[in-house]
Amino acid sequence: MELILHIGQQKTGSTALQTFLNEKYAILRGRKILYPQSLGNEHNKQHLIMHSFKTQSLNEENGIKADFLAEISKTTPKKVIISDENMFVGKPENLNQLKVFVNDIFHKVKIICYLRVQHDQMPSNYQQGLKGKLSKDLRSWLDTHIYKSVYYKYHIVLNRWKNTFPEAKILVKTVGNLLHDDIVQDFVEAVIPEVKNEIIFESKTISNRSIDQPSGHLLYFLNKLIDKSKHPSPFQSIKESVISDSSNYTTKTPFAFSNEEKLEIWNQFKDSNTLIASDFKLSQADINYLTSPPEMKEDDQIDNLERVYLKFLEYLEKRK
Amino acid sequence: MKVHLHIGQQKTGSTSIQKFFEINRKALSKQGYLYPKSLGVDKQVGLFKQIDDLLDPSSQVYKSFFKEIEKSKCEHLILSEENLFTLKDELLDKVGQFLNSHFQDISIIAYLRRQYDQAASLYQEVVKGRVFLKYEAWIEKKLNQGYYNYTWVLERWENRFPEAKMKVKAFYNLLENDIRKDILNEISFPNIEKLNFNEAFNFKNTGIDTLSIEILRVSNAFVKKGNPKDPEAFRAKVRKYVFGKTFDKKLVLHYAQKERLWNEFLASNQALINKYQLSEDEYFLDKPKEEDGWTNDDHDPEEVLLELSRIYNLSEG
Repeated sequence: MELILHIGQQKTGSTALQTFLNEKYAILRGRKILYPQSLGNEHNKQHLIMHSFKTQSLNEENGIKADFLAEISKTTPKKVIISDENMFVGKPENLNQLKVFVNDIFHKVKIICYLRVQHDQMPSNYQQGLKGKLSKDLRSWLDTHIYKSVYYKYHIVLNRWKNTFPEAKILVKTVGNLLHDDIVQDFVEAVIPEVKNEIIFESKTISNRSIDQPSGHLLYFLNKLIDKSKHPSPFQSIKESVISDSSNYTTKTPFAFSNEEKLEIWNQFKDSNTLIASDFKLSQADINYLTSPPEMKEDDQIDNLERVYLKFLEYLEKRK
Repeated sequence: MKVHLHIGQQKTGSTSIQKFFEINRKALSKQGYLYPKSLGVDKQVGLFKQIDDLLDPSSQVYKSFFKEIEKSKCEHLILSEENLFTLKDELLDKVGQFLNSHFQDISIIAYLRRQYDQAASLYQEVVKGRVFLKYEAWIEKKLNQGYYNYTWVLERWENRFPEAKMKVKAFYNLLENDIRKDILNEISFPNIEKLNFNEAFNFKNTGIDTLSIEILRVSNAFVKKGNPKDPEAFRAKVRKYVFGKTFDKKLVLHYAQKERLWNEFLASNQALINKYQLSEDEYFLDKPKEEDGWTNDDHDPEEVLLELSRIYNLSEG
């Protein structure tokens, strides 16, 4: 029995993939492929594995393993797919727990990971943080994430997996080079090609649901104002409107970093990305995606702050 | 008839002068100085806004103006409009054509303020109106227009009024520190004791703080973008909030901004002093002093957002 372990990373279409796997549960079952339910099904992913890392209960008798084994025994699959993009940066001790969990059950492990180049991934994560409670200014956030955090040093992250699962086949792919620009089709072709003729893939309109530039900056300031005001903050409802609006429109000016910031990020990670290319035998297209310098956008002469103020006024007007 | 044509510039007490002339219209007239109302009640805005009518003897404006002059039996005519200072060429040609064809004795009076003081004051004033440009963009525009090259501006007047007497004065060391008395002296007004110098009518622009200037500017940009459903109601709401506050921070330019203006016009100002024999050479030539200044970019964005939210009565809790 083979395990296909999809470890992310975040912001590479994991939710779309997980939704697909959940929706096609029956078709997959027909081909002896199990997308298990016993490991949790929060947002269609097996979230209980990550949860068990926190409680150190992954391999305990009262943990999730018994239910998982029961599910496997009932369904007798040839392949089992486990997917949780949050595993990507699991700590070494957690990966060791996972190794014990996995090695007891599977004779073959294939780990699949989709990467997004850092200068695209970071704005996306920063933006995600802003939708939460992040009130750190971009410069200090960048200083932390470029120079201190391990998350974006993909080479180190992936080698943790390689060291923990030396027998596993690790398939590293990039979102810059997906089959039909679709992670679902790419994933199917890569690890479960036996089902591809049974599935009609929905034609997808790629829409950029990224928050727009001024809204992103506005969220940052709203988070600061919310931090400083008494609960319940009057700015909370504006923040919710900004987030809600961002999921309803396609923006022509998605939240992005400046050319200088993108170059700084690229410079910092290009060596690490080159190492991935050789260590994990990436395709030439994937290598190009991870190592080419960022596309320079035209210098935006418009004052960001001005746009933040005008955006804020729009929301204040709407509130009336 | 002798014409005293006061052409500004802006932010040199023109409103004070005009309000003073307006409330003293009768008293001025008794001593032979007409401050006409047929071209505008408080100032002679009609001199350029209705210049085409003034060039047409059959027009009502033309007839009213000359009827008022005739009826007054005054020997002096005072005309004041600070926006004349940088009138566009075409209009200035017409103003010259009109006044030169009817009056032989013309005296042009211009009060000038050194560029780096005037710019701060004027920027504040225009933002109270509809200007939405940040200071740096706005000053570029003014510089391109030649507004601050005073020798060039005055030459334009001399070209249209070759016979006129130019009285160029610094907005500094005014007679008794009072622009009204200073201009009365310039027009050789004989007896000022019968004039009303009530301070209640001495108009002074209220200075507003730098954050409020930014709020007004941003709200102008918001209107410009066509965002508020009811732009006038929005403008009124912003102004009610801003002018309902008390202000403490004085608007001054950053040292670099001042120095730039000083440097750019040093030669022109020197020429101005020589040509018009101004005694206030220090005032126009002295290098600006460093003091805490302000530009739009200095505002804490959180403060700006808080202020905007207060306009909408969004309590910060």
